[in-house]
Amino acid sequence: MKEKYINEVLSFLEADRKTKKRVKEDLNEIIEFKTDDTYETLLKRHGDPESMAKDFMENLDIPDEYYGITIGLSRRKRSFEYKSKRKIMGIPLLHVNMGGRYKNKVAKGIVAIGDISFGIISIGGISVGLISLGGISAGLLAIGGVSAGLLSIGVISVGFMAIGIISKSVYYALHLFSSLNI
Amino acid sequence: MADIRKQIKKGLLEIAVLDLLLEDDSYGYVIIQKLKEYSDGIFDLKEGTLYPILYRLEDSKYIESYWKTMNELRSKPRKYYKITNEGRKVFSEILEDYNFITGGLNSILNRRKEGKGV
Repeated sequence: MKEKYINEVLSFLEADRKTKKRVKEDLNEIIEFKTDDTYETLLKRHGDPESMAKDFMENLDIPDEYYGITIGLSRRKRSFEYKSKRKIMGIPLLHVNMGGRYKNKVAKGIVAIGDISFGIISIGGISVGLISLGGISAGLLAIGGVSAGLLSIGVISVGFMAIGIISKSVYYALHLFSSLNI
Repeated sequence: MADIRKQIKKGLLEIAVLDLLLEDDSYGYVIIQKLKEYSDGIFDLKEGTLYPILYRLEDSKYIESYWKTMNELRSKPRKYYKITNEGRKVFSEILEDYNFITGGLNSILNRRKEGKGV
């Protein structure tokens, strides 16, 4: 329960990794959890996780406004990250990293799913991978709104073989509007 | 206006925390309790307010943290904060500035009562 509460706070906290680690360590120390306590007890004692995160951000001088561009699979207030413990050549088998109010979360893994993603199989707002699926996508097989790859499928696609509404290819292009075959 | 209030609150709380740590080394929960008690409930801080203050003071090297095991009843160590020599030096300077500034400000705010400049 205590861990769940702390993770909830961290998911709302838009801070760098070092600060998040510091906050996690301190919340772990200060939040007492007795055996008969429930999640509701924690809410009563410490307030809801979003308010606590907001309090931290306000006092850490992290601005509540954001004027940057968010490229994302998710624009939820809460961020989500999962990194599998299993690794291949030091790279996580699965890394999911997305959401949060600000910034673009980057996922790097054999299978990567994120606002920006890099992986063998990659799914993201901006995605780069052998098999890549994204808003903007690049890879051997790239599928996306704008895609570039050996085999590229997209609204706008560029590749050795390209299929799209507007496409440009070296070898073969299947398109709707314009013939840009070289 | 909200920004000015925030800055005043932050500055004053940093002074209050340094003052508490001058007395004795302490940890988060106790600092919160003492601030509340000594201020007659005015400084009723939550974790999200206290820890950023501690981070700033620690990053400025005015305080240091260390882990200490309390007793057999609580196996988990506590993170204690202690004021550094640099912190002590800065605290006395800030306190001097604070008294000087509040003295001047009080004179401005009380000028009508004292019949000055009206």
